[in-house]
Amino acid sequence: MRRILCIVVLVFAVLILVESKSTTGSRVLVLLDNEDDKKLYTRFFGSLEGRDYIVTYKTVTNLNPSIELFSYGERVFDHFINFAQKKDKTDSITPTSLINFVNDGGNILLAVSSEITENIRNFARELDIEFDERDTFVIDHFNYNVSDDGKHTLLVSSNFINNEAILSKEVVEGPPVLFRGIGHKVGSVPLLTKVLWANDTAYSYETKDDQVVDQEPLVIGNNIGLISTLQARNNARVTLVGSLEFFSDRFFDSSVQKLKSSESYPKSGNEAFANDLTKWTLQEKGVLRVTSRLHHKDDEYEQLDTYRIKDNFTYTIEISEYVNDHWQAFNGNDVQLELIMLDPYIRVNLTALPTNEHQEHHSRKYKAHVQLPDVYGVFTLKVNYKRPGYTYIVDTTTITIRHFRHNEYPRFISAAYPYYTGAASMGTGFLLFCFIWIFNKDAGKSTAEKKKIN
Amino acid sequence: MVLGLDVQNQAALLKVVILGLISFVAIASRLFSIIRFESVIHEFDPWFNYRATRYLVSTSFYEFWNWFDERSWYPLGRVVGGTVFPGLMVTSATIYNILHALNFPVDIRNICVLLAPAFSAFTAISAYLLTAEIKDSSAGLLAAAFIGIAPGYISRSVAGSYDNEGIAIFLLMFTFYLWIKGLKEGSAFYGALTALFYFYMVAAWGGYVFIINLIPLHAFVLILMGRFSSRLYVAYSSFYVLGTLMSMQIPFVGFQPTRTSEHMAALGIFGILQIIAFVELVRSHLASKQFQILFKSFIVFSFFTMFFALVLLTLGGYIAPWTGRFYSLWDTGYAKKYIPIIASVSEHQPTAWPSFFFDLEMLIFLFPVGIYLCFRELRDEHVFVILYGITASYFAGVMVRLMLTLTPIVCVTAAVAVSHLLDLYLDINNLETERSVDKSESDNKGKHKKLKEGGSRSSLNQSKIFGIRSFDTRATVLIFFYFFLIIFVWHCTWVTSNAYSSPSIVLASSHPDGSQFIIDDFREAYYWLRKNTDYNSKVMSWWDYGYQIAGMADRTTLVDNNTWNNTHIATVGKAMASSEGVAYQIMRRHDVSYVLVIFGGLLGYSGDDINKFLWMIRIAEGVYPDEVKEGNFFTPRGEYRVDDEATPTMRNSIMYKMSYHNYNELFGGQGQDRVRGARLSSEKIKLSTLEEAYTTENWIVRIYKVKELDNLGRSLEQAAAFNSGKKRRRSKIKSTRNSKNG
Repeated sequence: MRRILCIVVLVFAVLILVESKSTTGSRVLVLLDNEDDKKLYTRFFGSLEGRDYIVTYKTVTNLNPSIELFSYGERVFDHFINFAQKKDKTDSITPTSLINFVNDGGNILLAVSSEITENIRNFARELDIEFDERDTFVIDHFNYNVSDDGKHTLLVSSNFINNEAILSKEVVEGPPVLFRGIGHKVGSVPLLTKVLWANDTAYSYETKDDQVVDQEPLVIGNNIGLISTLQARNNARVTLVGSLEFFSDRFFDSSVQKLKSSESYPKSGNEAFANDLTKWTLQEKGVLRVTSRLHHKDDEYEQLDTYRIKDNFTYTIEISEYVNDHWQAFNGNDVQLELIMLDPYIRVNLTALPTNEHQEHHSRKYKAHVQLPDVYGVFTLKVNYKRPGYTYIVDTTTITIRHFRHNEYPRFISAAYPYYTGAASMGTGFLLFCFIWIFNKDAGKSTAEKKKIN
Repeated sequence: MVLGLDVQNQAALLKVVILGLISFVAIASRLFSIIRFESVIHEFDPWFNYRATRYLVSTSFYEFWNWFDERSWYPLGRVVGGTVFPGLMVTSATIYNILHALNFPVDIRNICVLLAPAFSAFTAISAYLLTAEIKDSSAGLLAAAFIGIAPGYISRSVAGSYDNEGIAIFLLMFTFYLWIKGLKEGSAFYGALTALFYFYMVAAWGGYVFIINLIPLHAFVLILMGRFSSRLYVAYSSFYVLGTLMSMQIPFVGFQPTRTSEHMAALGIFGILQIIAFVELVRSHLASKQFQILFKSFIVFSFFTMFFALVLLTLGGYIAPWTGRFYSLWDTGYAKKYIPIIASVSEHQPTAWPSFFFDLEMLIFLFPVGIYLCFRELRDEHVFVILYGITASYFAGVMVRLMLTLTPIVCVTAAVAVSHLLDLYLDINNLETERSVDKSESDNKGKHKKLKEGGSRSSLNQSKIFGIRSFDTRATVLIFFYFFLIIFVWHCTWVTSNAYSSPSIVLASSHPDGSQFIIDDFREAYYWLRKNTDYNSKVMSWWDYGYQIAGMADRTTLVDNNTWNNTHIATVGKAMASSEGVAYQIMRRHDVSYVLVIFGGLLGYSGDDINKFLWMIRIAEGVYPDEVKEGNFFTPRGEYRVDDEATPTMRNSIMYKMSYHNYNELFGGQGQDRVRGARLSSEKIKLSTLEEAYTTENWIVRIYKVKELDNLGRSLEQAAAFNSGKKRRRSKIKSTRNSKNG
């Protein structure tokens, strides 16, 4: 008995241990060109495994077992990290399978080099990201590292996105990162976010020895995206990194010194940057959720489906944020509530209430008091909170706003007093008349006689 | 002595038995639809009435009174309590409650299905009462028999046709009977009863306006004929005051009796009656010469005062001018020009001549005879019948559905005519005495006996045996007439069973071998919606199907047959008539998750959406003249086509795309549209914002699901192109460099 108990406890303990820090699952597929490549990125993979992910390594050259993102229609992995540059022989990583993976909620980190495959390029194109041609590099003759080999492709960049949801303060304020690889053009889809981009003096071109720049490059200056992300509408995250070396141990440990710059850092920012980037991509940060919502009349506490026009109304929503392995109160203060029937009738800021640390859910309450409009219909209460870096919150509740019931109108209104008086006097007069008519028989006879005479 | 009763009692017993049999026949002939199909609610409007009745039965009366229906007219909702004539629902709910109190657990559906046939029996009885007031009880029995089986009335009262008209015709007839009775007797009691049934009528059908205009018209004509009497004064005043007060209790009517032009005539006549009554009083106290002056000046003064008051109030906006529906009664082209939504309803079209014969058969020929006979006697009630006949026949000519109001009076007058004829020709006893009196009468009898009458005129004085009173002429006339009557019954039964008993939600056709073939696509589709979609999903369709979707599929609709908000309907019309991009925005904005279209091309069902499409376009153009243009749907030669020559606007409209999507594949090449007799273009129809969700067995109903926004932020067109295997083109600069490098 004791043994069984022990085993049960042990199993639970293992389960808890195995639980990774991501909010969407811990199964990671890493795709490499060949087994030896693993040694190039030991620090990076070490950090992943250190965060309790179950990492499966596969190589495009070794097809046994074959790579499948789906099995019987079910997603087999929660996250997909692609470091492979060669085309896999079974051709199972196609734009279609990647898009299906994203549509099913899987997160993708794609690192490419200048030897980008057509499949990856086509996939990126669906995200409205256009990679430059094969064999092109981002070149910058003013912002390269001192250790550059003369082609000026080893860029030093600190053009980070200043967004705490994606990159922590330490990274943004920390040393610049090294980057060598292909650039891309970021399209206008609002779901895209540039995380790292090139300096104004950069351009993207081929780097043959006697290269003449006689064509306009695909993209120049700070329009060159180096690392960009897309958060799909279902909150799945895709990160495209134009440099494979970016994640290598060599870059992690390299020192950084920009040409003609006195500033020098013993260690590049790549490791911290890569950590934050994977944390964000694998849904360890910047994840919001709505834990509860409640609406009721101001003076009641019951949630109703139907309210009356002009009711005073309270709406409360609780939002929590996933930070460092646990859910805590979200700190945003720009959450809005909309009351929509075809058009928004009311749009108000929700007031963030101070949190109570002993709360069970560790979430923050946002509250609004409104008077419902003087229009009846089916209204949608919508909290539409979409900020770069954070998962989207689109929380809708429908309520019905009805008209006054027949007995909810005021019974007596002052404007109608003349009519009340009229009705009352008419009634009294009629009763009086009836009374006289019935009981004053003599009068009746006399009129009858009069008639006869006439 | 039969059964130990004297002649009078025998006659009374016979009348009761005959009326009972007529009621039985009236009910029985309306059961064809149940026997042929099943006990279901028919058509469109009945589905709403049925749904409302179920709501009333499952909640309480006050809940129904305040019912705000959030599942129709999404997202506007509909205040049902204030926009409905509750009489029908309350009637069936009352029956339901009584039966359940007596421990008869009858399903509410069966009550609703059988309500109209039951009330047709009451209609027959009230037709008997009315005609008995006008002529005698034998004419009454004929009228009852006629109205019991006249197709013009059956068309709206077969089992399952659970509509307001089902009980309204009974109320119409009974109110008129009570009015005649009240007028005859000068009784405030009958006047009050008239008002009571008028109130019931107001609660049941918008056609109550007919009563509130016809009775004042009758009173007015009587005054003009110099027939003002205290009887008229008492009956009209008690009817008008009580009736108006009671009618204002119906929320849908509200203050209309004091504020709209349709009700002003009744008020005016009420005022005139008061003035005349006052004048009569003064006259009884004054010398005649003084009186004449006073009278004339008073009449002129009061007329002008009232007229100007009316004009001023109308201009000041206190009295609403005539409504559009009312104008369309005078100018049949009015609706088409200004209110396409009214004109788009088939039952609002002018009546075709053959349908008079189809609906009334020989009664339509006897109708003028009956009117003529009324002129012969011209008592107060005959004036009423004449006025009713004239007005109703005008309205029946203007709108198909008003054939319904004409039918009762045609039955009454025809019964008067037939009964008159039978009186003459069957009366064997007092041959001698009647001849001199009825000579002229018989001369002018039916038109179709002119020849015989011509002969009789000359010969009558010469011989007592020869002529129209002789046995052989009588026999000939009577045999012919019985033949006509039998043919009438035959015709009525045939029309009822063939034309008016189809539920229209189930279609029937026959196989080449003669066996019946049931087309049940509508219910198939609605049932699919009910079982396979989310309870809160919104279904967009043209308004014709709104009530059915709400009733059968139990899903929220955007527009329905209530048509209270023209803009909302026009928005749906615009979505149907626009290209995918525009339509998608409208659909997203209205939270539409499914779109339903009716397509008859495969089966040859002509009442489909492509045929109604022009009305959608017209209605949409009325509200969005810049975005929808009717002209763009016609070829340069002015034709409305769906084949190769269809205009680009037509082919891009989602209505066209949804109707013909994948249709070519069914034929393995070019599809053949059997309704419009057109071969479709062989081009494949691509839909990117909608995907086919369900198509019924015979393709009559097609349901499409509205896609969500693309997960990756692409346009749905791009996403669809990607899914069909097309890769995106590279940007231009790139490709030029590529070619040079390569």
